[in-house]
Parts: sequence; structure tokens; C-alpha cells
Amino acid sequence: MIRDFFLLSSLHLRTAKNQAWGFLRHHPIQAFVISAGLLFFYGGFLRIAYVALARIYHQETVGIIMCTKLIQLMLLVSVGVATMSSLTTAISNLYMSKDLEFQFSLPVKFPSWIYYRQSQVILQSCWMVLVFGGPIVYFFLKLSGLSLGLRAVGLIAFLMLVSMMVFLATMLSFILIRLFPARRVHQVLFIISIILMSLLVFYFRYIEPEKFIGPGGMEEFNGYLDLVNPTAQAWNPAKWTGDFLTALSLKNWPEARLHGFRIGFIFIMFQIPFLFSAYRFYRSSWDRALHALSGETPEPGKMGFLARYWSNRLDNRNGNQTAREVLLFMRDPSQWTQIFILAGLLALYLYSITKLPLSPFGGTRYQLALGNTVFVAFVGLSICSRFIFTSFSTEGQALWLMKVAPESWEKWIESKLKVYGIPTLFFCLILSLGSGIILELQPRMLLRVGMATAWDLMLIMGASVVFGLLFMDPKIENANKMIVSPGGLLLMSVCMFFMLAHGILRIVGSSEMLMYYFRRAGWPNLEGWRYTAWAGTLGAIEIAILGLFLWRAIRHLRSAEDIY
Amino acid sequence: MIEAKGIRKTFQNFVAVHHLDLTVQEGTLYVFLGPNGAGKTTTIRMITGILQPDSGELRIFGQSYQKNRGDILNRIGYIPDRPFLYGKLSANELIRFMGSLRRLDPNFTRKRGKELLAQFQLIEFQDELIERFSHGMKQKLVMTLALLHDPDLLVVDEPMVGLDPRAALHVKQMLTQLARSGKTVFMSTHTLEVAAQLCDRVGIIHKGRMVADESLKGLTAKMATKDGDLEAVFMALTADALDLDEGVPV
Repeated sequence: MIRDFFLLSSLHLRTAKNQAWGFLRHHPIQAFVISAGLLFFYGGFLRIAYVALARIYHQETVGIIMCTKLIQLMLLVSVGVATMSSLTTAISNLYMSKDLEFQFSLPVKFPSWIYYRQSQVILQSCWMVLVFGGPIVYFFLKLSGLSLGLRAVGLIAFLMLVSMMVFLATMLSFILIRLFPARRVHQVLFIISIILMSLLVFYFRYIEPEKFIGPGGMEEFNGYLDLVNPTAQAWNPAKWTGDFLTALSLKNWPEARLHGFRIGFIFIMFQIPFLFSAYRFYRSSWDRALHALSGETPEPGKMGFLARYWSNRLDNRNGNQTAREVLLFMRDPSQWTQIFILAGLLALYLYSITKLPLSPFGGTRYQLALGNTVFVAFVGLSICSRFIFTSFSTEGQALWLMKVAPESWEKWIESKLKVYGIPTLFFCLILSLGSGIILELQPRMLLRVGMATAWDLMLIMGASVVFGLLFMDPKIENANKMIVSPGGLLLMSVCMFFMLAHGILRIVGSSEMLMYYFRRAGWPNLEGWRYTAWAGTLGAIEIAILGLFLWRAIRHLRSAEDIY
Repeated sequence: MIEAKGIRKTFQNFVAVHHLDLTVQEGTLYVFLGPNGAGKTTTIRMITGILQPDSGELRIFGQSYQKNRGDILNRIGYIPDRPFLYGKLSANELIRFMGSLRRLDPNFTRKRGKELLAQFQLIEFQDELIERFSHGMKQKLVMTLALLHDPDLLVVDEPMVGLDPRAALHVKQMLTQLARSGKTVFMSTHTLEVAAQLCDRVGIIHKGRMVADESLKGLTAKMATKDGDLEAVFMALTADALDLDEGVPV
């Protein structure tokens, strides 16, 4: 059984290695630039994380306690992220994957296969938590003076915590799909999107992030951290791991053994219901998994007014591409169910803004609104990377239809921007301007905030198109897998860099005090007309780079043989 | 109709098509043969404008893709070997979408689409989503799309794959009829029997090079095989072929 598991995993690793090697051989410059960019980004993160954690840790009296609480908070957030992201990943890997027919025919024992598949779900849904959360745990244990072996034990505990959440989410997927009639996986996705929305509400309102940015926000934060560890949270898996890591860091070996044994025991106990549900609900209904990709979408004739409207527009020479894109979106349950999550996010975001203090960190509401544009841009980035960036690849191998038709690629790209880009822009403007209105900004300030968001979103949308075209993979099975591809990671890194630059420029430009501090650190003078000049230059550089890459991406689309 | 002079296509370190010369006259049913990986599909993709040759000159209807891409594509119908389509559209919707891409009148598209769907026995499935179609049904739908705009040149890559015997017979009759009505058909196939039945002229490609380009009669006479024995000719010309051969190292 173990041999089968490693054999299956090694096949996956070999495929990944061959893909990476192939990319390196055929695109050495791009591979170098991407690797260097990612290393720079990740190296910077590691450095900042270590320095910040060390600074907190070495504070007198409260340092260790603060660090411990921060780790517990991070574990809590990791549990939330792992649970939410693994729900859709489990469905896409175990039900909506094209290789299932081949996989089911493999002469391996079922437990080996399901654990192999589950390991893929864990990696795909939690890679971000592991890549960014793992080093924090490691640094914390290192600062506590633990040996390398004990640091590894701490990391294993963190991995077990995250895995448990994924096991839970996978079991839930098995049960949900079993509950619904055959070929109705799309209804399960709808239920899952409602569960995700509820989890999002729970987490947001549980953490209440808006409390921390007012006068006395730090006291609130300290008080909040104390709340993370009450005895009432005995059910919270983050607390189990948190207790273990705390005991390890304090070198309280009896406590560490006790908590370590507890988390290990619970992890092993998790395997019993997992295997039971895998046999009882998944293995016995492989036919559902095989039919899941051709889900029971209502027949076009029986669809509602909206679908009929767009279907009729397929005849229209100007609106045909948009109509096709809308219909494909509406009929793909893994796509449209995301709208519920976005609607929930919008409501939550605006609700949180109403709770904001009116004088954050001693600054003005206008500065708060400008800072808010950066968060809005990150929301916009996550939507664009999920929809615009992936839309080029999810077009799939049907792309040859476009290549043999006398149609311009520009129109094809335009349709994607119309369907995904414009709604995203409106969504972000509602977030940004809605927040501004709640913060009672003057019309002139609202206009600036709106323009800032529009600028950010234009850049993000353009970058999503460029990266979507340059890293197009028509053989990708579903959109979720595309986001974690090298192109997706690069898009996120590049846009985050520029969004942060925009945010700093805006906030520093609106505060004399911040300007003073930044100028002391070598930041250029942005007072008066200089702010407009710097912002204008940055905007011009961004437009030039984007235009150049867009031209290159369209050329790639026309000539690339690997696209079809 | 099709004029290729020294066209060459490489994929990374492999030459898929090596200085290929090809001429196909109007109203001809040209059968393009070759072992797996010989360069047939690459040649077809260059003819249909999906790929661009690295060098050489390719003219379709006397025009080049660089200058008259739209005009050429409006007169070509293409049936690929693998029928990848938009699964979430119905057959009827896809036909209307392709009709509008080709700037056809919507009423004409609907009428012509229905006629073709009836010919390929798909009319009762016209409102079904394509993702529920079998491979053969998808192949028939691709043929409907390729014939929708009544093309002057039909380029077909392995037309019989996945078709039931009735549909295969229909396709054979349709291709012959098209050629008789003055249209040009450029077809690649592995089914030598079909090739021998249909072809006016045969081209054989091997390791990216044309090794034969003649009428069937001329070719069999030249190779001293008994009249019409295309299989013997093919075997003789591609004797050193390996199934997994993917091209010629540069």
C-alpha cells in the first residue's frame, strides 16, 4: 500500500519535473526571470518575517507572550484558509478531473489511491498556508532556541493541523455529492459556495479586523490576542497545535508531550471517518465522479430569460463573442457559484467599514480611504486572477475554432474584458466609493479615491490579460489549478508589488508627517506638483510596459504552436 | 488552389516539415498519407492558418496568410482529427456562433445549419449541450461547422475516426460529391482503402519530406505494384518508418 502511494506520487512528481525541465529548456530566459522574481519575492518575505518576529520576540516581558499569541492567531487563520480552499479543491480533484477514468483503472489498492489523491488536494489547497505559514512556525521555534529536529516536529504539527481541515472538507464533499442525485455536482458547488460564504462571515466577524486601526488599536489588539486562548476553545484545532508549539517553545517537555500526543492521536483518529466515508460515499459512486464533468446543466431551451437573451445574441456580429463568454460562464457551476461568495464579500467589506474608527492611527478619514484603495485593489486582484487570467486557458482546446475563423484576437480578448473586467471594475468601485461614502468623504476626495481604484484595476486587468495569454494552458482541467501555476504566481507577485507602490505613493502624498519620515529614509519629495509628476511618470511607465507586453502576448497568441 | 514552396516547420529541436513542395489543383480530392509523426497534421495546420511556416512560401487561392488571412479563412472549411468544441454550448448555438464569426446572414446560418444537422442525423440533438455528445457526434458536428459557409477548400484530418459505418459512408459520398462539384478536398487519412477509393491524387509524406505526389495510377505504375494497390506503395515508400517517430533532428 505504501509502495503504491509513493509510486503514484512519484509519477506526479516526475510529470511536474518534466514540465519544469521542459520550460527551462525551451524558455531559459523566462524561466530565469520567473525564478529570480519568485526568489526575490519569497526571500524578501522570509527576511521581513524573521526580522519582525525576532523584534517582537526580544521585547522585554511581553515579547514571548506576544509571539505565542501571534502564532496562535496565524494558526487560526490557517485553519480558516485551509478549510475554505480545500472544499472546492477536493471537488475539482476527486470529481471534476479529466484523468479520473485512467486513475480508476490503475491496479492499485484504493487506500493508496485515495491518500495519493488527498495529498494532491492538501498541496493544492494549502500550499500558500504552508509556504508562508510554515516559515513563521519555524522562525518562532528557532527564536525559542530549539534544535533543528524539534523545529521539524513543530512543522509536522502545523502540517497535521492543516491536513486535518482538508480531511474534514473532503469528507464533507463526499457526503454532499452522495446526497445529491447523480450528475448534479453543480448543485453541490452551489451548496459549497454558501458554506464558504458562511465561513467567511464567521471568520470576518470573529476576528473583527476593523478594531485594530483606531486610537488605542494596539491595546485592542493585545486584548484580542488574550481572547484567542480561552478554555472555551477546546474544540478549536488551532488551539491544540498552538498549545503544542507554545509548550515546545517554553521547553515544557511534559506539556509538549501531552499536547503532541493529543494532536497526533486526533490526527490518526481522523483517518477512520475519512477512510470510512471514502469507501462508503466515494468508492461506491465512481460513476458520479466520471459523469461530474458533463454535469446536468439544464437544456438551453429550458433555461431562463437571461440565457435565452444571450443565446439569441450569438447571431449578432458585434456581440457574439460576449454572448459566448457569458453563456459558458453561466453554464459552468464552478464559475458562477463564485458570485455568491463575491456578493457575501461585498456585504461584509462594507459592513466592516461602518465599524471603522473615524480617526485611524491619528490620520484622517481621507487617508484611511486611500489606504482602503490598496485593500480594494487586492480584492480586485484576486477576482481578476480567478476570472480574467484563467479565462484564456479555460477556453480549452476549442481554441482552434477561433484560429480558423476570420476573427480578430483583439475582439476575443475584448469579450473577456467585457464579461469579467467591467463587472470587477464596478465591484471594486462600489467597495472603494461605498467605503468613502460611509467614511463621509467630500465629493472631491471621493473622485480621487474612485480614480485611484480605476487606475489600480486597469493595471490589474491589463496584467491579467498579458499573463493569461503568455501563460495560456488550454489543457488545464479547471480554473482553480490555473491560479497556482507559475503564471498565476507571477501575476500575483507583480500586481502586489505595483499595488503596494501605488498605496504608499498615495498615502505618503496625502500626509505631511509620513512624507517627513519617508524623506528621511531617502524617499523622493512628493510635495505639491511633484506628486502629480511622480504619479504621472509611474502611470506612463506602467502603460508603456503593459502595452509592450500586450503586443507581445497577442503576437504569441497568433504564432504559438503550443496553444493548439 | 494550394501552392506550397519549400515550407518548413520546426518545433524546438525537431523539423516536423522539411522544405515541402505541394500543389493541389482546384476540384481535386487530394489524399495526404504518411506514417504517424510524418508531418501530416502540421502541414494541414499550416494550410488552415493555425500554424505559420518558419520559412518557404504558402499560397492558398493565390493569396498569402500574411496579407489576406480573413479572405482565405472565409473560403476554407477545416475538420481536425480531434473534435474539441465548446461543451457548454448546444450544437445549434455553436453553429450560430460560427456563422456570425464568418459574417454569414443569421437566417442563412439557421437554414443551412438545420440542413447539415439533418444530413448528419444530429437534428434531434441540436439543442443538447455538446458535452453530452459522443466522439462520433462531435465529429459530425465539426463537419457541419466546416461545411456551414460552403467552403471552396475543405481540409480534413482523419475524417473517419469515431464515425459509425453509416456516417462513414455518408462522409465518403459527401467528399466525392464536393470534389465533383468543383470544390477542392485536401484529406489526410490512415485508412488506405478510403484513400484508394476516393483520391484523384496522392501525396505521401515521410519524416517531414514529400516522397510521392502523383495520381494513384501513376504512382502504382511507377512503383511497379499492381494497379490500385496503394498499400504496397505506401509500405515501400515508408519502409523505415517507426510508429513513434516524431520528426527529424535538426
